[in-house]
Amino acid sequence: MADGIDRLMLSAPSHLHSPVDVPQAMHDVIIALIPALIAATIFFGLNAIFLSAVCVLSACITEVLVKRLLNSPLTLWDSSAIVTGLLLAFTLPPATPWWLAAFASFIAVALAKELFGGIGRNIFNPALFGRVFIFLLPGWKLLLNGYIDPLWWKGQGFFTIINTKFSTAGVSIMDMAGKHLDGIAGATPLVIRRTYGALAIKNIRYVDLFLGNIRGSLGETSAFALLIGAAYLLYKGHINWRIPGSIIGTVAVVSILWRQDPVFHILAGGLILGSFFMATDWVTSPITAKGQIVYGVLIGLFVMLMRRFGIKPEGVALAILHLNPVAFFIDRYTLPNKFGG
Amino acid sequence: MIKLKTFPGGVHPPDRKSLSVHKQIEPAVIPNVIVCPMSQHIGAPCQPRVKEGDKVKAGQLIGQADSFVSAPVHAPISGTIKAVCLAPHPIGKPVMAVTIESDGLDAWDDAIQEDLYYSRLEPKDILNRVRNAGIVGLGGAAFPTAVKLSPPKGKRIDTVILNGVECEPYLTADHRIMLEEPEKIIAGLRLIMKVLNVDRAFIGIESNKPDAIESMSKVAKGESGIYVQGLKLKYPQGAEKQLIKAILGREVPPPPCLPLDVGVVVQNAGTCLAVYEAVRDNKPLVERVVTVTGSAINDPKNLRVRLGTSFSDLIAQCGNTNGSVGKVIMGGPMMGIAQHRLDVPVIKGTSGILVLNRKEAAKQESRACIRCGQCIRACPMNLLPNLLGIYCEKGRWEDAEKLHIFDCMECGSCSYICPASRQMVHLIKLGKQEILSIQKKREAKS
Repeated sequence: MADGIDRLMLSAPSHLHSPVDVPQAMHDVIIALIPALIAATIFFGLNAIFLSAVCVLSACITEVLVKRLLNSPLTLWDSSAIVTGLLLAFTLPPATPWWLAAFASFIAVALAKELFGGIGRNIFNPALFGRVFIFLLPGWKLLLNGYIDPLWWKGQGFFTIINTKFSTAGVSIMDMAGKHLDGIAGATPLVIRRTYGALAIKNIRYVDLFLGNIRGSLGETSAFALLIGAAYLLYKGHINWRIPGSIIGTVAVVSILWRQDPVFHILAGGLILGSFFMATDWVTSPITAKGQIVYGVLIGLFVMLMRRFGIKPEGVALAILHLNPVAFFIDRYTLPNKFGG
Repeated sequence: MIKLKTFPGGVHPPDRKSLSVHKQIEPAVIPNVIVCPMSQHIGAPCQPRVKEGDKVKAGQLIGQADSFVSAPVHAPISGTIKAVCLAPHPIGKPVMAVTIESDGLDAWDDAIQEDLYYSRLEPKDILNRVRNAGIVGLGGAAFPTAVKLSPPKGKRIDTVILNGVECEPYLTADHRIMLEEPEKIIAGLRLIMKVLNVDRAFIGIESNKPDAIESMSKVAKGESGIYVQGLKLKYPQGAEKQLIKAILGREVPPPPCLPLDVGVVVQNAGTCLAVYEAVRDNKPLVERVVTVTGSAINDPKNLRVRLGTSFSDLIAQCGNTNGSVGKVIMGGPMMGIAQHRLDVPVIKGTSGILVLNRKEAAKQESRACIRCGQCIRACPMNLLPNLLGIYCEKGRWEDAEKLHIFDCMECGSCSYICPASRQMVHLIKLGKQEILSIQKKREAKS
């Protein structure tokens, strides 16, 4: 025997492994979300970073607590809790009370992810589950008052942190010192369109929709910043065009059929954020190529039906959540043609 | 520059061939003791034709192949038979083997000499020499070459493909022979074309071997009907079905179909060389080129090795190991077989001995599938490796069968790419075995 060789390791092939692992993929997603976080900070002030930090922190703490409780190994290393926290923050109205954001994040990680067995075993997208959960609580309508104006901080100071208070009288948006910030919130473009008709949104410029200079959820408004991040994920191969392409394509086709403005429907609301960052969530979307297109088309149809007939004119989150559990069945009926027929 | 071709799917592992690619092939030291397993190929094992105490010469038949899908075994050295008994084998369980102690003379059998008129041989005589020489596919699968060259009646073969891809990282044996002996390889290819009565052949070589493309093209230029085709660098470009797809665009249907069902026979570069030597010199397959390499080997080399030489002998000839050996693999890192002892012999299918250090070999913990779909994009057979892995893990054999588990060729692309370090190939290998044994039981019952 050659010297110094003892206790050889055994395993089945392959003996070589790609250096890209789950944490690295998650880090890429975090990197891809940074442009949108910057855009959110520009339009909604330092409050955007504050709210995101609250969500991320709550997600991480929840994960540690749950793992401790279940006596299973810590998985914070995979950074998926950070992604969940960030994505959740992006879906919230910018003036959501911080404690409610933290609660949503807790629900996202504890209920939607860990209760199902942790990363890889969840059926619903955790971030969307957390967001929709707080919108199902009594008094959810109050949350709709949290859509503050872009660049509202010009009058109040960039560093103002918002502290929203709910009371029987309604919602009061204040800063941390308790000073009321009046008249900075209003309806989102989608709500305006539903309530007052297409004429009412005529003065909303495409460039503002594209850059994110409109009211909306924290990280959803800037299509421009989101697309930069999406391009990075596409380049890195973490997502592909099929799901976002078919969602956006379907939305465009349906809006043209209904004689509505397709550009408005694509840029307003959470469609870009949802298509590229939520619907493409690996765990909860179909894995087959054909299945991904079917999934995207179904989400697109669902979104348009919600926008026209739903109680609330925004439907991206609900559309994706409703199709999450269907993803596995879509896979079953869209198996790829194996090599050689 | 001719356009490079390729197949859909696949992965891009680092090729790490620079460790040994510039090392000219050297003859390995002939060891004192050689162990020849009676099973070095796919198919029925050979029957030993010698007994303890017999004297043999190099090239003499020691194991006879009695069935059609089999290949005889010959003595790689001259000497005395020490034992005919079970001995460790690099692929799994111990098998019957003949142990020869060298007499130090390396005397060859009288029948082994150059046939000056070999080019006048009839196809069936060429085929006989190939069969009697015990030649098998030297790319690693070790399927008897004579069987591949005897297509059943009614199957028309129109193209031969010479596989010079060597897509496994680290391995450079085929690359070196294409640089050093291109004439012999192409002469071997000609003989194969003659047996099959085919007048068109392609030589597929990956773009990371421009010097091999050049040297083979130079020789092929003077030959009619032989073309060199450059291929994109991608694993598993050298898998038979993927190579045919890349070069001819034809897809071989799933098993039991073979390349000959689409009119193609694929032969590895080393096999062509062995065919040439068998037909011209009547020399049986008793040696082959083996790449001994890896980060834990001090002096990686390409060695011309007598079959039956132990792995430890070859490692010793390559400057030994530098301390922290983690894994010793027969073959390449993607499909090779990890060894638990080093007294196993080089067999016909041993294309390389790869020694990885502890850090490279460290086992990564397998985690839950996150359905990222990387393995699905990588799978060259268009399967769903993640689901196959999960089904095998859970014992859902019927579901695994429905997803075509037996189409998997275990190329390892999925295990390589998986960010959750899931061992899909391990699970699929296990699943195939379980399903086969269940089928056997069912058949026995009915």
